[in-house]
Amino acid sequence: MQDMNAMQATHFLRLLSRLKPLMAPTLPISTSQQTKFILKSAYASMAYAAGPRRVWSRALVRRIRRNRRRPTMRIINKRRHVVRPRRRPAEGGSEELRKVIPGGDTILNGARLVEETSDYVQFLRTQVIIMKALVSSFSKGQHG
Amino acid sequence: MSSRSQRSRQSTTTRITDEQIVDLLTKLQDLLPETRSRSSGRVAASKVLQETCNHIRSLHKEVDDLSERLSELLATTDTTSAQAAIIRSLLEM
Repeated sequence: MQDMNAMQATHFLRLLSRLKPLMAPTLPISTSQQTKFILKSAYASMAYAAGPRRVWSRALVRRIRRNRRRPTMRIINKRRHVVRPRRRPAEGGSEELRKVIPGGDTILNGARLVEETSDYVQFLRTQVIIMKALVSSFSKGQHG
Repeated sequence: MSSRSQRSRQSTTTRITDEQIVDLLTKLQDLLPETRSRSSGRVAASKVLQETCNHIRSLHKEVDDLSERLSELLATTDTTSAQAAIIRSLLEM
């Protein structure tokens, strides 16, 4: 588990370091853009650390890649357009859980949903720990 | 109860069984502090699902808030201090 944390942390820091050149006085980005970048980096490093074996990590990567593309034109390619079949409302109260897990609506099996959920929560929890450590580290640096 | 789960085998989604809830509970035991106090397994499936959803939502909120906080800190930190802080946190990890 320690190796996972280190990988997740390193990847997050690597992504964050891309922020510094953007903050040069000649090319300033707004605080909200900065925050969005950090937020995307957080979820990206979670997905990276988890690898492609998880539905949630693949869904996150898809989501991040989609946001990167500028929505200029809406081209409806009939070949690519996937029609999602109308599912029977899931029993057992798992609908809400499926909404909260990335890609959760594609998970049909209850057992798989449980696996994905506990996995996702672990990585989320780790990400929070990493970011808290960074915040305290940066705060120390300011007073040091 | 058993007839319902038999029927759901044909449907596109399967109902989350109590067994799976227990499985989820075990896996999340460390992460859901409320479940630790419960010694016996008599927990309503819906309650566990609800608590899990709430927990995930609060984690999302934390990541949001921490992103904002990091953004503020990065803006006020100069490059050398930022690099020092990054190296420091890597070592502490």
